[in-house]
Amino acid sequence: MKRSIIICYIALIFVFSIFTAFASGYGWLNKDIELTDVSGKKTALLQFGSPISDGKLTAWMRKGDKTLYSENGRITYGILYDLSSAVETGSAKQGMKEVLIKGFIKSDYISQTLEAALSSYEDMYYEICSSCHSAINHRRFSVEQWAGIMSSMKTHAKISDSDAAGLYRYIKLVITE
Amino acid sequence: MNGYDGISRRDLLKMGLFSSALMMSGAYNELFAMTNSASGVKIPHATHFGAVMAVVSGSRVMGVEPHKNDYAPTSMLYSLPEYVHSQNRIKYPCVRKSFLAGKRDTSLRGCEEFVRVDWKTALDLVAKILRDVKENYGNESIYRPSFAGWSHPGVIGRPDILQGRFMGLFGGFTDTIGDYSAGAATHILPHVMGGLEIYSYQTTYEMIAKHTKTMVLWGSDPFKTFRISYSVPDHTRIEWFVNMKNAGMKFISIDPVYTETAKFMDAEWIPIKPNTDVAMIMAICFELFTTNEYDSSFINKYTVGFDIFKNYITGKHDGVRKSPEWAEKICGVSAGTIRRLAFEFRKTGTLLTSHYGCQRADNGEQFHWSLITLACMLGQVGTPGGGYHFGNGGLSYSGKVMPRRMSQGRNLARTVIPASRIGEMLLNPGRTIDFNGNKITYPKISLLHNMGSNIITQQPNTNELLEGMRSVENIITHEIVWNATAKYSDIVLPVTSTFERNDITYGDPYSHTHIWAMKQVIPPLYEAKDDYWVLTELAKRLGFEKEFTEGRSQMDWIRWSYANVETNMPFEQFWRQGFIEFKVPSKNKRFVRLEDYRKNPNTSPLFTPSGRIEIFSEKVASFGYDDCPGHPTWIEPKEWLGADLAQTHKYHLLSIHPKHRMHSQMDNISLKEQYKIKGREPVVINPEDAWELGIKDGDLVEVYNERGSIICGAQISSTMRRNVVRVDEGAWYSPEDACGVGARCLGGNVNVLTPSRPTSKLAQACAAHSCLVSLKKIQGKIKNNEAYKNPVVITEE
Repeated sequence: MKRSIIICYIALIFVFSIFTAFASGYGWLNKDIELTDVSGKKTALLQFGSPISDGKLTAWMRKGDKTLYSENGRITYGILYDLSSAVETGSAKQGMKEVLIKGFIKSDYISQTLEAALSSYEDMYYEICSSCHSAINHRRFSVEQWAGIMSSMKTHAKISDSDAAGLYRYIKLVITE
Repeated sequence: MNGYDGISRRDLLKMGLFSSALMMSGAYNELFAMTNSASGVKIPHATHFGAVMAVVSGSRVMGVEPHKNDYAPTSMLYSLPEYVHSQNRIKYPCVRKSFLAGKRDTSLRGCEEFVRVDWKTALDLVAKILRDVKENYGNESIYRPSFAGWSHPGVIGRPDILQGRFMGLFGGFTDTIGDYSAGAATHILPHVMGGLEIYSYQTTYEMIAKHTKTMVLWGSDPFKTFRISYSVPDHTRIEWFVNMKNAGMKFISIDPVYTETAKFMDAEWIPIKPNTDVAMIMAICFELFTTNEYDSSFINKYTVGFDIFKNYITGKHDGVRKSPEWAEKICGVSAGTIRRLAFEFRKTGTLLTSHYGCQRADNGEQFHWSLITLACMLGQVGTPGGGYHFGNGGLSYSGKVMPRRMSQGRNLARTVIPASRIGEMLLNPGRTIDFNGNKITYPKISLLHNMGSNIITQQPNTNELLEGMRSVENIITHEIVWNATAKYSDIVLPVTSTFERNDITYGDPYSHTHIWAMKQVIPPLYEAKDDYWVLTELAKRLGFEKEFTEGRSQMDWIRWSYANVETNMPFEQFWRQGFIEFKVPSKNKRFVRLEDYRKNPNTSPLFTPSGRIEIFSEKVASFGYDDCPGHPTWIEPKEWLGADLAQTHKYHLLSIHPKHRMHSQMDNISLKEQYKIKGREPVVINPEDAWELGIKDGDLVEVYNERGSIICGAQISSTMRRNVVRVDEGAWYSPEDACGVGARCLGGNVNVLTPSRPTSKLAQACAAHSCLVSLKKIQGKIKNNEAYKNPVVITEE
């Protein structure tokens, strides 16, 4: 047990060093990125709009689930390919444990504000979703309703599944963050 | 039923079945009556009425040849040349005489002459007004009524989109939420189904034709609805209905009107009283529940809130059992018929179909919610041939990426009003209304800027609107023809018709099987200019030309749009041949709405708070609206045949879509000779009602209520239920006194009579179908309909 804690701390130090080396202290990811470890192996997918704080990516996980969540569980931050790339901090609540994620990330992919991180998706929203009707105020529908509306509209909007998913995440972040 | 497979339109034609079936119905005899003998240069183009080869001689469109893939070209399509060259074309930029002199007497609109000005003068004046309004009152005081895009199907030159882009760059404007078509449904269904549903893809016709045994047309007339399209129709939906009939499908039409579709399909007609659909649905639900004939396993697995609903229909809440006998007194359909239908609907393969007409009524939110609840009790939702089927979905999807579309971008003003609230907003700046759990406060409007929209025929309660327009200091309209909105404007800018501009667009908005080149067919007529050119010139004057155009001409934008298309065909080849056709993959032909949800509601939940179909919505209930409670409920409309007002006004007026025009477009051309009566819009009256009123076929009739009065020509027809009359929407407005508000309309513009009252606090949507009227035969002479007479334009020529 003690040994695993020591490993975790070593890993933590490693993560700190990575983010310190490749990213500024605070910010938000401005695109989806796949993290790699020192050997180049992909360890996790992190989604745009995920916060980097003090050089760390902090997320919450449920037992048996590789999804990374925000503290309130309303936003996903990504998914782990390799569970060993997450380091538990020891904090836990409501069946979730707090983790830190390790990996390499370029500082170009981190914006100083959430608005800046979302700007390319915002542009996409206002281009694609205002070509038949006006762009809808994001808060006109709930997060859940937007999911249904996106599934109705993505074919009318003639966009790919990944763009539709990106737009939905953008809307969700605007409403909830 | 499987016999439809492999029988194509050409096969039917060979067998003579298609032509004889259609001819016998009378529904499409225009197909065979129309010929086109024009000769000249042929140029491909596409319109809301269909794709064509325009036949051109010099600068005149001599005729059109429908595209080979158009299954049932309409009279409107063949009339396009006449529409383009109509005597109502606006020839020059015009300014109302006193307005040009700097006076702002808004009461003179509609009865004062215009002065011809050159484009520079007009554009400078418009730019000055925009600047002044922004500076003095803010961007919120600019209102854009056009939002739907029914004036032009191109993806680059659509007036409403171009205007949104222009106004957004200018700092914003007050905009419209929702639409007139389906405003109630689009606001309630996200609470019930987690999405818009009525604009979603629906079960394909391939699956319906194969699996449906009985199709219920609830307030639905597909043959009329599908004559036009939001983009470019190929009328293959009609082909599906012909095939379904030939395959022996049973049709039931629940409608106050015996529609052309019902007639063609040999449908059983259930002539329900208008606006009472929900009561009838409640009674069917009651019958299914009390006889234990409903699908309780479906209800338990896929829905929430049924316990509350069942207490409502059995009267535990209000002491009123929603039995067939109860409903009979409301909807006029016998209890026996309701019971029989409840039994028939339980059979496998019953599809409840509807469009939007039933929800354009008081408490219109309840209609689709009720029908979905009934479909759930029948337990066939998510099956190939059963459940419900809403709106225009049904054609299978090619899956191809379509041309990229010009976008509007951001609107910084953020002020919005629900569609149908224009008159109320103009008359009540500062008033706060409820809206879908929120509040909206009306801005004070100083500039009403129209592009691609004829609001005087579109908006209910014309007199309220005209009164409201008098409070607006400036009205600017970009138009093709001198319709009423142009006549009631201060500045009128003549714009090109579709045949005079280049553009690109796609085929059916659901199937995506075509991309269409909209090649310019003739040079702009008179001094008309493209909307894009007009707004570019204005943007130049206002300092954001570069942002508006991004350095592109309209043709550059068309190439930009085409670059998005999934094809190897060079643009030049596409532009030359005029179209690209895509095939539909087999798997897309097997699409069934909510099939995934039915398979596993846990892994494919709906996007409602519960993840299930919400027969009871806690969210809706939490709003506390007395006119839209938390479950489907029969609420008496303000105006219907059971209202006290029906003692005074005994007839329920339906203002449904016209057959021979698209809203008000094409009301002014010779097609009207086919259906107008003594130059007026027909009012269709049941023979017994006509006899009681002493009205004969062809008589001139005044139709009136407290909101106004219109003159129509009587058409006596047993296709109307008793005490229900019909005046199709879209006839051009022709006031007896053009300077006054409240004048009789001599042309029969039905919105003079319809209420602007909203459906409920939830959607605040159009409820024009809740309308009572009286009728009387006109005695003596009456002025001519002058709707198609152009205003006086002073020129210095």
